[in-house]
Amino acid sequence: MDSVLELRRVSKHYLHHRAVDEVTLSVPRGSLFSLVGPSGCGKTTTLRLVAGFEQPSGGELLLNGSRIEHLPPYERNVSTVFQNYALFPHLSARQNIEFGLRRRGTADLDSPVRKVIELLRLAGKESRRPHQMSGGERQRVALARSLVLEPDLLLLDEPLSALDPQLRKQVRMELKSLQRRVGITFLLVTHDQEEALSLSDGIAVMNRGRLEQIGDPEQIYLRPATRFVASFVGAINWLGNVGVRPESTRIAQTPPDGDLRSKAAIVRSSTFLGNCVHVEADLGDGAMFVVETPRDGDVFPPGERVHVWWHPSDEIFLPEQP
Amino acid sequence: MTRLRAWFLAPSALLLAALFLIPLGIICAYSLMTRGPYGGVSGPWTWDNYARLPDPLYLLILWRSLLYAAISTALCVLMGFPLALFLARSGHRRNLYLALVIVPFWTSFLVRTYAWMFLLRETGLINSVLVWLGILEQPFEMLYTPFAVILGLVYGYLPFMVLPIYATLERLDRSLIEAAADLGARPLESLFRIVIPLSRPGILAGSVLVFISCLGAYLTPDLLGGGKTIMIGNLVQNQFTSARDWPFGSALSLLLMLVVMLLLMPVLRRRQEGLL
Repeated sequence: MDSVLELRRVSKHYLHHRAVDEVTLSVPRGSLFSLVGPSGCGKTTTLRLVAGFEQPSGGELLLNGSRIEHLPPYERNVSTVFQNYALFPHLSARQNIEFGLRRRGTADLDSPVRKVIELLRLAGKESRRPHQMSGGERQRVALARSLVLEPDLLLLDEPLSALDPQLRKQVRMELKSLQRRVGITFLLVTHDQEEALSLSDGIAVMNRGRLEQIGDPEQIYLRPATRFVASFVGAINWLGNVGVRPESTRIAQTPPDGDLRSKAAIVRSSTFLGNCVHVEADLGDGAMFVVETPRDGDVFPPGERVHVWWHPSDEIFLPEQP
Repeated sequence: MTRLRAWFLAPSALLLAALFLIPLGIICAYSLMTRGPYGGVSGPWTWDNYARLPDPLYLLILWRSLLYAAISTALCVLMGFPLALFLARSGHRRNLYLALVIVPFWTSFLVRTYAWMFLLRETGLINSVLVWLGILEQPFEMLYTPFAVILGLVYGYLPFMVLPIYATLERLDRSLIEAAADLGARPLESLFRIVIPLSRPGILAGSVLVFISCLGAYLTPDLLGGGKTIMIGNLVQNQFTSARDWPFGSALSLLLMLVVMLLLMPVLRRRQEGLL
C-alpha cells in the first residue's frame, strides 16, 4: 500500500530511558491513523520526531519516500495541531491562519484562507483573538492554520482532550468527516482507546516505547496481539490463557446447554449504567468477573448464585507471559 | 476578608505615605517658597521658581537628559533582549547565569562607577593597553564625554531591562515557538513574529524602569560626565547642595516628575486596555 510516512526502527533515547524504541510503522496515504497507548508510552515523542521537534537517536523517517530526519520542522511538509492548540495569542484568527502561507510567500492568500475558513465554519470569527474564542473555535482555527498549508501529513496531538466531554464525541465525528473531505493523511495521538477505535482507519498501540500491535480497529479490539493490547483497548476478563470481554458475557440462573462456556459465580454488585447493567461476579477464587448484560434481562441482586456464560468464538486466546 | 486585606496592605501603604506622599507634599510646598539665606526655605509664597524653569540652559539640560535616557534605554533593549533570551534558554544553567546578572548589585554602584573612571580615563587601562599595543598613538579622552555617561547608564541599568524581559520569555509557551517552526517560520522569523511581539510587556516594563532611572540619574553623569554633560539629576542635586536653592530644586524635581508622567501616560493607558 502507498504510504505517506514510514518509520524504520526509529528510536529516541534519553539519559535514563528509551522513550521510543525501534518503532517501525507505515501510515497509508489518505488514512486517519492513530497512535494509542497509556501516558508515557512514547506516542507523543513519536509524533514530535515526525514533526521535527525532536531528533531521533536512531532509525529513519521517510515522508513520501524521502528521508526527513535531518530536516528542521520548517522544512518538513507536515503540520501539527498541538494539544493546547498553540495559537498565537497576539494574532487574530485570520492572522493565525495566514501565518504559514505568509512564511511561504504565497502570493494569493485570500482564496485559500477563505476556503479553509468556510470549511471549518469560522466565518465571522476572523478578527477574534484566541482568548475571545471558545475551545471548539480555537481548535478549528488550529486545524485551519495547518490545513491551509495542504501538508502531506497532519499531526494531531490529543486533539480532543482540551474540549468539554459533551463536545468531544461530536467533534470526533466532525474530525473524521473533515479528514475524508480534505483527503489529507491524519496521524493522531491519543490515550483514549474509544476515541482511537471510533475514529481510525488504522491504529498502532504503543507501550513503553515499543509498538505492541498495528491493525485496523476491529483487529485491535477483536484480535489483540498481546495481553497489553487486549486490556488497553477495552475491559477484559482473564481466565488463564483466555480472555472474554464483558459485553460478550451473559448471566443465567442455570448453566447453559450446548457448547457454550460457563462458570459458576456469586454476584457481588450490580450497577445500572443506562444502556446496560454492569455486574461484578466472584468466580470463587476472589477474582472479579465483569459482565455487561442488556438491561431488559433478569435482575441479579448481590449474593445470588449464578452462572456466567459466553460463546467460545468470543474468546481471545493469549497465553500468559512466561 | 476585607479586614485581613487591609492588614496586609497596611505596611506598604504606611511606607508609601511616609516616604513618598509626605515628602512629595513637602517638595510641593518648598517649590512655592523662597530660598533661605543658608539653604532651607522661608516665606513668602511665590510662583517665581516655576517662572525660572523655561530658561534655555535648563531646557537644554532637560533635553539632554531625555536624549541620554532614550539612547541608553534603546541600547539596553538591544543588549538586554538577546541576553534575556539566552538566559531563558540556558536550561539547567539558567540560575547560575541569572545570578551573574545580579551579582554586580552586591557591590556599591558608586564603587562600580569609580571602576569605570579608572578604565576610561586618559591614563586608564583601556587607553594604556591601546597605546601599548600601538593601536593608538596618543591616549584619547573617553572619560567626561557623552559616551562615558551613556556607557555608565547602560552598564548600571541593564539588569533592570534584562530581568523583566527574562520573566516574560520564561513564561512564553514553548509550543508557540514550535508551532511557528511547524508552520514554516525560520528561527529569525519566529523571533520577530512571535517571540519579540509576545515579550513586549517585558520590554516595555524594562524600558520604563531604565528610562526613568536614567532620566533621574545624577551619580553617573556626575562622575563619568563632568561639567559638559550635566543632566537634570545633577541640576537638582546642585540646587540642594552648592547652590543652596531648595525651592528651585524642588520646582525642578516636580518638572522632572511631570515630564516622566506625561511620557508614561500612553504606556500605562495601553496596559490598562489590556493590549499588552
